[in-house]
Amino acid sequence: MKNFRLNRRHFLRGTGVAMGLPLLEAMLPDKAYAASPARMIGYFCPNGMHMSSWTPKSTGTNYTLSETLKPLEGVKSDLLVLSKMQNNVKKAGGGDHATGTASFLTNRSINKSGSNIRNGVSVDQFYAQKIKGQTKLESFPLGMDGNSGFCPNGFSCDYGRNISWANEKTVVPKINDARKAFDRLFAGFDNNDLSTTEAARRAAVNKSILDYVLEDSKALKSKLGQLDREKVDQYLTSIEALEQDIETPAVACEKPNQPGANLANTNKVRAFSDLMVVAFECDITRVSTFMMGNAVSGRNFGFIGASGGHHSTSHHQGNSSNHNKLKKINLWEIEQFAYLLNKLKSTVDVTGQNLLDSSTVFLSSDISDGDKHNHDNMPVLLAGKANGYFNTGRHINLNGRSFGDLFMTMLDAVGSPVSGFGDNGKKLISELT
Amino acid sequence: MNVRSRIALFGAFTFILASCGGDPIDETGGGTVGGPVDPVVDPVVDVPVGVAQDGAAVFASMCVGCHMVTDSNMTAGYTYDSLAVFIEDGMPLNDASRCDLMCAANVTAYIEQENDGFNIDETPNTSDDGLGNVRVPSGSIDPAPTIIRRLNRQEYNNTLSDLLQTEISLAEDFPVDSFSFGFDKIASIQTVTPFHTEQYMRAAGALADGVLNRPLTANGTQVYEAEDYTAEGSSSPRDGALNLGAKGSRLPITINVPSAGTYTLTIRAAQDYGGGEDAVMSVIINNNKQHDVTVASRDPVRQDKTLQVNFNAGNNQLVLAFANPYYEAGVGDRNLIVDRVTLHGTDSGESVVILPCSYSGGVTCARTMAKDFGAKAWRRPLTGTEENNLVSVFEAAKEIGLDNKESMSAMLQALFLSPNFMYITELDSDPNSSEPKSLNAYELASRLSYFLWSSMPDEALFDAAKDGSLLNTSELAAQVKRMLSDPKSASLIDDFAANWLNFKAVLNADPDSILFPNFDKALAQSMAEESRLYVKEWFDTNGTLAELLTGQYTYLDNRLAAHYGENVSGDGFTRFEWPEKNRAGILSLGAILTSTSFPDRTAPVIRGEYVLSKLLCKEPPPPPPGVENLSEEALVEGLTTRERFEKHRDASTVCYSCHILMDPIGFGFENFDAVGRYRTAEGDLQVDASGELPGGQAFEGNIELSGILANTPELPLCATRALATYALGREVHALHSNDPEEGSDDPLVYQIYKQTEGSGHRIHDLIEKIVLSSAFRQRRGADSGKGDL
Repeated sequence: MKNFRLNRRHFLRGTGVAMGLPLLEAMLPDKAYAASPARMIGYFCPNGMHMSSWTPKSTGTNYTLSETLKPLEGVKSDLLVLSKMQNNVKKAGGGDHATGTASFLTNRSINKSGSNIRNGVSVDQFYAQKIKGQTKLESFPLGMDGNSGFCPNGFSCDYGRNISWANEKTVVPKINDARKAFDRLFAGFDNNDLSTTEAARRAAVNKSILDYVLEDSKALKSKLGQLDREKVDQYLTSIEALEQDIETPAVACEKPNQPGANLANTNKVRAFSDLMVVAFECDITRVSTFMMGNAVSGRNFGFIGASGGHHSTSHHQGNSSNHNKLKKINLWEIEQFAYLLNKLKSTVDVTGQNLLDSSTVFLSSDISDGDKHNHDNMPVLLAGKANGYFNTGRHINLNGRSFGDLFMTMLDAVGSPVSGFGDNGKKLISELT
Repeated sequence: MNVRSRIALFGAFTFILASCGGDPIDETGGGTVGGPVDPVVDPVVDVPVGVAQDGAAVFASMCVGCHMVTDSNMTAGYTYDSLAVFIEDGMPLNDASRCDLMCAANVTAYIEQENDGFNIDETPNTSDDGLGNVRVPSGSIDPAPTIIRRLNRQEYNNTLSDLLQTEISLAEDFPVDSFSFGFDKIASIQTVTPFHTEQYMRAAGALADGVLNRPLTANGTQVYEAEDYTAEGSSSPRDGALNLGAKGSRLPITINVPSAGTYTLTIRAAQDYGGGEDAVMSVIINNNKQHDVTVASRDPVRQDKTLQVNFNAGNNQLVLAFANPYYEAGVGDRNLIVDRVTLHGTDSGESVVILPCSYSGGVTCARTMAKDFGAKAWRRPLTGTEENNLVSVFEAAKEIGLDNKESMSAMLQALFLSPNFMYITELDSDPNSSEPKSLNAYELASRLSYFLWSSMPDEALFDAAKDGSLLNTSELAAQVKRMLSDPKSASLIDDFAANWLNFKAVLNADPDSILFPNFDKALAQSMAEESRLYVKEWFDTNGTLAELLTGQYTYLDNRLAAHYGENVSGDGFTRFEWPEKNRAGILSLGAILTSTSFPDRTAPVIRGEYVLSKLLCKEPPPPPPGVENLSEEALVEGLTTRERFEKHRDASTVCYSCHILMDPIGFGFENFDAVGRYRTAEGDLQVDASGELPGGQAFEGNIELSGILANTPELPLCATRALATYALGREVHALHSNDPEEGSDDPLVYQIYKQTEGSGHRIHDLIEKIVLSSAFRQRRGADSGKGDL
């Protein structure tokens, strides 16, 4: 995709349907940056991996990609394969899939409950909040599945259906429809021109509407008890985010073609990958997450010759037919991941640097082995150089280092250092730099 | 510690230690009082003879002014202990110190005696069949801390559809709502993020714009002045009207109506008489001539001609054409003069105007809009300050330079974006107190309408809130009855039952295309529709919970009938009675059988889990971490699905303790394959559909299973729990809990059980009793400092 400098007027006009629309297109001075901003992606694959086909035989720079990781040949020099990492958090009464998914980017133990949700802020959202206001969207969570899938007894479905968490109680919901995801990025883009005066007028009206809603929310809040206040606070914060949007720099590119309707499987994953790339390219956001499936996904992989539900296949019971199916499924997953990485690598931002060089892309799963439900020896990939922070092109045995440590390191890489993260994050992983 | 124990510790009475078997303790004290069954293995202390007599005297002096001793409402939901504590702490009203613990115990004993015990203390089933060992709860009904609840997507669409009287589906673009316990109505877990507010803002804009661009309400009035429109053919203005003078002269007017239906069209017209006959005006709607109207009145006297016409929803083309022009120089000149067209909506006879005034009225209309329209949208009257604040949005927009319409749009957007619209809000005079308080009538109206309709209250319900009558039990019950007969109660099928029984999950099923080539999305949709129609008939006929499991009918279209090996004629769905008697009730529905299967085979574990969790509320826990591998022989060829799964129940594995509960139930479904077709063999192997319920009750096939489940008390208890969860928008704490913190909803569930037992737990009765319960009619805050829910 080509690179664009923009016509200011591209962003000025809404679809004309509603007064609410032009809000997102308020025009402000073009932005320009000298260095590429740091970008982050969390990439979730459900049901673990077939680890013996996953782990490369040797470590260091001269390692050979394993059977499952073969598709990453083209980005091997941009990749860190991290073995023997663990995401062990305290578990309440089973629920390995729910726990592993909820803690995927948080490294936090969760409260086993359907009504009293407790997790922690996820690494993507922590970074998104740090750079809030610099882009049109704080973050861009995506996933293949909507409200489908099994919710383990005693756990809210939220735990297994989301990986982005704004704070310990607040899930950041994902979009599972490529067209809706596209609309979220490009709402308000239109080639109709609107005069600067008119744009300013609309921005002013929208501001007055939002000011009203803020005041109204505060008035309501003052009459409520503690539990209710938390809810209204979420509303307040999110309305404030809209107000900030009025002042957010406009977006710097042309609207691409919208994805096809009713996409499935490979086509759908690729459409989402394309959208993540264009969102970074246009600097609409710098943070995205992707779920290849919800926890306990039973996706039927018949389309690649591995028929049966993914989750039931992942309980391989040592059976060779299941092992073969799992290898096929995992290979397909890594092919999709490779598609994303290759696309990031072949796309440049306004500085002329490719997007993979400025990105930190983390891939793993909720568990390691489908039968064992274990959270150690996790399958972990870290791709992208984070603007030179990571020393990529290696397979490293991290001997039990935790996801928490990795998330600390990722935050350090994107310029938001923390002194700890999640349950286990205590120390940077110096081997990665 | 219970009351009787506390009294015993005072040394006033001797006490008797009970065994901990849980049997009702029969009386040693002369049959005066029956001891409650206590779920906790505490020493149970009994009250000796004489106390009740003392209680009678107290009751006669302090209580009888307000209470009849046999008034069941007085004891409903109470145990001996909880009522005694309640009386001690709260009675007599405003003077609670007059009756201390001893006094309260005496009064309670008297009440207990006169009412033959507390209903709640009766064990629904004491047989030891493995399903009926239901324990009796202690404590009273607790409305539990209530949290303001954001409208979910369905409620948003329904509310706006009702408010604006047109189909609104904007919320389909909103982020998916959070689910727990099967429902997307749990207040405590619903979140709002900038993604949400982006979409809300967008929707508010579309709504405000849409409603303002609709010139006519279904029951409102719209005036079209002829001189504002351009005629085709020859025409000339005349005194506020248009003179259509020549052949081919016609006046087209585009008319937009919100819904299809009959409208009253009044045309004010006149003629210039000439050529020996009156002028004739053709009224053409959407290219079809409807009427030829003779216009006899001679200008300047103009006459109203009224017609009943049908319009489609949206834009319609009305053409008024001059049918018989005449001109002979010096002889005569016939002309048709059209002054104005007035349209009245005549939908239902009731005057429901969407917007109370036209934005062209400026700030006056803004004020009226805030007050009248605002009260509907926010489901309660607005305060003066709230009205002023909304009007100030209109005024601010005017100041920025927007016109009346745009400014009104801004104000309506503000109204729709307000948390007062987006949340179902209940205000509490002391929100951090855990003391239950009654909801006000508007709050109760909203709880009711969002329970029964997933939408806002209608006029009748607002009226009952306005005059406060809704707070009366009889009126509340009458409203429930009325609302259940309204088509909007279909939300209880589409939102409650569909989620409870999970019959839409089939739409996400993806059976293996080689093994099941006939399965596709269309078939999945037919299965979902079959389930919906099955449940709808059960619901509409106020069926019992047993009947939900045993109905010998279903609804089939051609496609699904062929899939099942049956035959129906005609298009669409037809009611169908199973001829072979191998299907009955929800557990025979293709949607449920398919969605509880793997893509390539049946999943007895999932089917068993479905029965346990959905119908019996006996969810097995999730598998433990580090499950040991099953041996490879579990998957050798030549075994039926059942035989493979039996490995789960190898007592030497960690799987045993839970799978012993699930699998033997699931095996009972083996007569149905992974896409819900009946079978007696799996490949070459004979199917064995014998099963076993927890506790050991054996059955053969799912008809027998359904029959057993239909008669277990756990079914109504579990269904009540699901329904109450949906109604209250919160967790309804588990049955059988030993944790006092979590046992608090058992009294509610048991009360409903007892109240509906006589009718066999009919669905409308369950709904009504939930609404009439104090849990539904009251709210409370959480104790300060205890932020958990």
